[in-house]
Order: sequence, then structure tokens, then C-alpha cells
Amino acid sequence: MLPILFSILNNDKQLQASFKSEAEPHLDALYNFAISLTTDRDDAYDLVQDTYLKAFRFFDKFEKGTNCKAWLFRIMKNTYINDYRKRSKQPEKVDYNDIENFYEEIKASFVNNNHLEEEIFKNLLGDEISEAIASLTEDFKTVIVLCDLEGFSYQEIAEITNAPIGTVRSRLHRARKILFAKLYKYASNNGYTENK
Amino acid sequence: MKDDIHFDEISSLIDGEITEAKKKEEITEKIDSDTKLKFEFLTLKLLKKTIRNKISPAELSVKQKDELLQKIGVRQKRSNQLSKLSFIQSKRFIAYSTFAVVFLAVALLILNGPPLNTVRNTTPEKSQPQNMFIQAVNNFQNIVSGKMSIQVYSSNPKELQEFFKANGVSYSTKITLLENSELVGGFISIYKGIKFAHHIYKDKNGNFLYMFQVDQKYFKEYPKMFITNDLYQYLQNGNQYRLYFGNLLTIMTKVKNNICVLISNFSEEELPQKYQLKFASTYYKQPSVLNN
Repeated sequence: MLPILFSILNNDKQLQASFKSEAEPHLDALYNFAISLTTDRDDAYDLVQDTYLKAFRFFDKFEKGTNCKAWLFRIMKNTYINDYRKRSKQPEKVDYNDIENFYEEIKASFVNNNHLEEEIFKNLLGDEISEAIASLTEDFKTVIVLCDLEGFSYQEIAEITNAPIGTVRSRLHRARKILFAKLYKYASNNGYTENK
Repeated sequence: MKDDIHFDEISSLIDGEITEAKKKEEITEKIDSDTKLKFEFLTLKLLKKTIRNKISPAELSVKQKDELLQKIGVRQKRSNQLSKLSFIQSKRFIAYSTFAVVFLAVALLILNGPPLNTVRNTTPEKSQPQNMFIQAVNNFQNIVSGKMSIQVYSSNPKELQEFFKANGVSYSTKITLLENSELVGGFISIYKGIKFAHHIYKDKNGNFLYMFQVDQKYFKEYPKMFITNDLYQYLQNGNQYRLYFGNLLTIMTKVKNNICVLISNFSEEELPQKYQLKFASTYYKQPSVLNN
């Protein structure tokens, strides 16, 4: 009787230990993703908790050796859609044609300029860039965060967001153009660049 | 439409998603020969670089992580209560109930049998408020939250020992280098006019290991500082006292003439070998029931 008892308890302990070692290193990354989704630190913390709880509950379904970080991010994205999205303030949508026109306007001044970074982004602060990302629509900021901050591949992003890889590619491209336009306008308005 | 496809490929190129050499070359050539494409390539590449370089990721504090792990434990219990029926049918229920029966039987045997050689009153967290255990826990929390500053930064154990000596610590300190983490520095605290040494390690994941050591010679003079007599004796016998606060491990032990408190959020495997559970002779208590 006792060996059976101890083997059951040991399995539970092993599962807990395994969850701890697999999932805990990604807590901060999850928190960052949660901030970008909810745009509120308290909500983000709650979302991390809910995600972690779900992940722990279903950890026996997690396939060992696969990408635990992507698995946790997928749980977070679904939890956000089901439980948090309604309460979160959604950013205004941007007309993509406006962005294309804007690009046409500013293109001429950059074609022969070899010091883009000096001109535009040198004085931008990390917080200003974070705010600009937060102001993107959910689909756009999600791909930017997953790709540029968390370093996921397109295939992984497709799995996390449940979208075809082609959609991820075009979404990312559009998101970057919109973000660039936002930052450029912000930099111009704040005197970070001479190109107004 | 055709242009749109090229533009998407620019992002793929920037992100290293195009692995085929021929395709890569083809896109690069197109970019070089078309000012519109080149403009997009340069701006988007710059944007990616700027995001990576300028945004510093937010971090959960140790306290938040700790709370989170504890809450998960509590919620598990709640959800178990909600689904009692399925729990009663589960293997775990059978295991726990069997354990309870075995435990009760052993308890009765102990109560009716001869006394065992056990440690009593080993609850330092509940004893004197100024004991070194409480001081160490407070110090660790203050270090992690940035409220307490490190007085000397050095990765050299000898330099730290000299700092302690030069600044009034009148006992020898034991400081070693660890394999998976870096010695960050140390500081001195004062209790009843006596100066005490503390030092800190940090690993590449930002976890801390903090050590507070006090010469046992102070025990006679200030017994309240050393938790309880029972525990003091227990440590004298070469044992360790271990306690988990969520994922935060506290170990009390005796190293040469010093009584040491080690606090860390390292995993068991990352701890110095002699502090790992499998190597230590311990009074082991987990999880903690202490509500801090």
C-alpha cells in the first residue's frame, strides 16, 4: 500500500517540480505580454495569475520537449480574449491608406539620408516607444511584441494567435509601418527631428 | 498586389525568416534596385532595432512572484473543493486518505511509545521579533525591492572580507565563489552596537542568494538574537533548518563558528552543494504555513 501511495504523491510532486522549472522562467515575459494586451499593470498581473493557474491545471497535457513559452503565451492570449478583452480599452483603428500616403510624403527626404537613426529615433525613450506600441490595435501590437520583443518565429506567432502564417507576415509588416509613422510623427512634434 | 507581396518579404528578410539563399539574394537585389523598397527596408529595420534596444522589459518583483505561486496553491485547493465528487473518485483522494490513516496510526504509536529524538520549538519565524531569522528575511526583501543598498560591490571574496574587517565586523566571515552565480557585494548591519556581515550573489536570471552570518560567541550575550535554544542546539549538531516561503528558501546552518542564514530564490540545483536538500541533514518544512 505504502509504495503505491508514495508513487502517487511523488508523481504529483514531480509534476509540480516540472511545471516550476518549465514555466517559471517565462513569468516576466508573460507579464510583459500581459501589459501590452491589457495596457494596465494590475490587470496584467491578474492575467498572468489566471494564465499560470490554467497552465498548471492542464500541465499534464503539455507535451514535454515542446516549446513551453509558446504554449504559455497561447494560453494567455486565449484567456485574454475570453475574460479580459471586453474590459480593456481598445485603441482606435488607423486607416492604413493614411499610412501609405504618409510614407509617400516622407520618403523623399530619407532616400539619400544615411543617418536615419540619428535623425529620428535617437532621442526617443523606451517608454515613448512602448506607449506607441500600446496604441496599436490588438492584432498589430500582438505581432510586434511577439516578434520584436519576445523573438518568436512566424510559425510560433501563428500558433499563438491562431492565424495563418501569411496573415502573421502581412500583419507584422503593416503594424511596423503604422508604428513607424506614429513614432515619426511623435518625434517631429517633439522636435526630435528637423523633418516636419 | 505584386508590390504588397514584396513588402511582406521585406519584413521576412529583416526577421531572418527567409532561409533559402537564392530567395534571399533575389529580394536583396530588388531592394537595392528600388528606392521605395529600399526606403521601407531601412525604416523597418531601424524600427526593429530601436524596439529591441530601447524597450526594457518590465519585471515582476520577487514578492509578486511569490504571491502568485502561493495563490496558485490556494486556488488549486478551492477548485478541488468545488469538484468534490470527482476528487473523491480520484487516485489522489485515495492516496491522501491512506496517508491520513497511516499518519494517525504513527501518531498514536508515538504518543503511546517512548519519546523520539526530535527538534522542538523550531519555529524561528514565530519567536523574538529581532532574531537573525526575521532580520535576514526583512533584509532580503529590502534588497530585492531596492530599499536597502549594497555598501560595497565586489566579486572578490577577499575584498569583501577585508571590507567587513575594516569596518568593524569583529569575527571572521566565510565567503566563497559559486559556480552558477556571481558575488555582487555586501553590507554591514548594526544590532546593539555590534556590526554584522551580509553578502549577496546574483545569477544570470536575476535571482538572489543572500547570506547573513553571526559568530556564535554572541549567543551567550544576546540569546534573543539566536531564535530558540532548541534550534541553536540543533544547528550546533550539524543540522540545517529549512523553510520555504513560496519559492523563497531560507536555510539556517552553522558554518565553522558562525550561525548563517541563507535566503534565496535559486532552484535547489543551483544552490551550493552542501545546501542542497539531497546533501543536507535537515529539518525540512514545506510549504510554509507562515502568513507574512
